[in-house]
Order: sequence, then structure tokens, then C-alpha cells
Amino acid sequence: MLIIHFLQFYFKLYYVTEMIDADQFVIDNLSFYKEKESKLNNGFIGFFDWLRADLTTIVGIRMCFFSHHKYLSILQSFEYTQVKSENNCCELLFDDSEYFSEISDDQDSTNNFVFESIDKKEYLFTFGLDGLSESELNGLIAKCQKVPKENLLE
Amino acid sequence: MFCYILNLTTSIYYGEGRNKYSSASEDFEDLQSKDQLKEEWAKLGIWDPNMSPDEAGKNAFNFGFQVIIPSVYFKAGAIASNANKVENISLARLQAKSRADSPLFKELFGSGKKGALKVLENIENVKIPEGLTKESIKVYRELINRVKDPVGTQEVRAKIPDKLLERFK
Repeated sequence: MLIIHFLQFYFKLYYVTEMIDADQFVIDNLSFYKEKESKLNNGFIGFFDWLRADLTTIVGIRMCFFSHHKYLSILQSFEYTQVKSENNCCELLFDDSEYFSEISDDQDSTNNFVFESIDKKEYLFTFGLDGLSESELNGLIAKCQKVPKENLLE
Repeated sequence: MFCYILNLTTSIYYGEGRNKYSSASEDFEDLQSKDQLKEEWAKLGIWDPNMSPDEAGKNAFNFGFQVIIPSVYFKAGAIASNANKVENISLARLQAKSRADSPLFKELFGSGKKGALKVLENIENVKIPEGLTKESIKVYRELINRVKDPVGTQEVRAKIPDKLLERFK
């Protein structure tokens, strides 16, 4: 799974080889707790699109949450995210590459959980990767820090 | 001279077919009806005992005053008729009703617009994933109808449940 760590001024990408069903993660010695609405809905909180520069290169993600959730306003508060599509979706580009809309239309919904730090200033969002091809996945992993499962569950 | 004898008696009028026990018995029936109605609402997805007051309020708003004032005087049939219309269900309830089926729909739709178009090309031979029912397909159809999708994938996907629902007619 992909974990995006949203910090105040920047973000980090983590890759974990498998989905982990846990209520708490530890990253950089900071504990994050599964947010109750994403837990209640089994990680089905909206749809997301992988943003592609070409048919095999993932350069970002677009997250479209069900409108009654607060996630869009949370992500909107970070300066490095962009709210698009009449303020209903939030985009995060992993680098400066451009993407093509025509090939960025997954509307996937797998394992989309939210974890929050106790002070609610930092967040982790998880995404299932089963919709990606092998080459897309390899390209994405290259942009991430790999984290062993046991480190997350410390 | 005629003499009239007036015989006066007092009586309490309970109404036709009523007696002094009617009131207590009706109170009991009233309570039973309310419980039954709540049970019905739970089945129809209007009332969820686990719902937060906020969520319950959102649903009540969607159903108008009939639900806000829980009274047995409203005919259950009228409420059921409204509740059965998926367009009257709040997005939060649609999500709650669909979350368990979400992986099955993902399997059904394939990935992205291209995946959905491929399914549509062969829709006559598409097998409905085991576990999906007419009701769950209608609910998911309504859910994706309310998603603000910037690239139109959900619009293409929506044609799949439309075609599948024709099989239930």
C-alpha cells in the first residue's frame, strides 16, 4: 500500500509491501490513529485517480471524497495540495511532472484509510495499489521510502 | 294531566365500541406501533440505531417532516414508499449501505473509463458478481450518480448497473 504522510510544509511517500489492518501506525516516532469515519466505512471514503504522465508513469494522485467527509478541507489546508474540479477533489503531485487527464481516470476506492496524529496536525492517507500495472507500481515505489511492516506497528 | 317521570342516569361516553379498558390498551398498542415503526425504519435504512445524531438529522431532513415527527399517525406505507426511493437516501447512508459491496463493484466495473467501456461492450454476457442484489445495485448506482467525478468515469460506469437492472424487470 501507499502511505502519504501529510506534514505542515511537505509530504512524504511510503511504500509498504502489504495492506496492514491496524488502528495505529508509528512513523518518524510519531503515533497516528485511525480516524473513525474511514474505519467505520472500511476505507471506502470516496474515489481516487492515479495521475499519469504517460501510460506507465504515476506522478500524483487525485482524491475525490464523499462530500460529507471533512477530508477535503483537511488536505486543502496544506499549501502543496491543489483543490480541483469545482472544489470537490484534491490533487497532490509527487514531483514537477505534468499529467494527462485522459489517462488518469481510475476512480479507484481500495483501502483508503485516514490516520491522524494526536494534535491533528499531521495525517496519513493509505491507498491500495492493486489497480496499478507492474511497471506503474515499480515507478511509484521508486518515489517512495520503503517501510517494513513491523516498523509501522512499533 | 299527564305526569312525566324523568329518570336521569349518568354515564361516561367512551365512544362506539369502547370501554374503560380501551385507553390503556390503545396506549400499549401505540408503544408497540412505535417500536414496530422504528424496526421498519431500520430495515429501510432510514433509522440506524448506531447513527450519530448528526447523521440521523441529515436523513430526517431528506425525508421531511414525516420523519422528524416520529408518530404512528403517519401511515407506514407512505414512509416506506419514500424510503424505497434511493434518491431520497442521504449520501452517508448510501455509502454505509455500499461499503461492503464496494470490492464487488470494483471487480464488476474494471479499472477506469476504459475498463467500464470494455464491460459495456460485452454487457449481455456479464455475470453479476455473487452477493450483489437488485437493491445493492440500485444503491450503488445512486451513489456514483452523486460523486463529483472530474473525468467522467462514473458516468460511463453508471450505464453498467442501468443495463444490469433491466434483467430484474
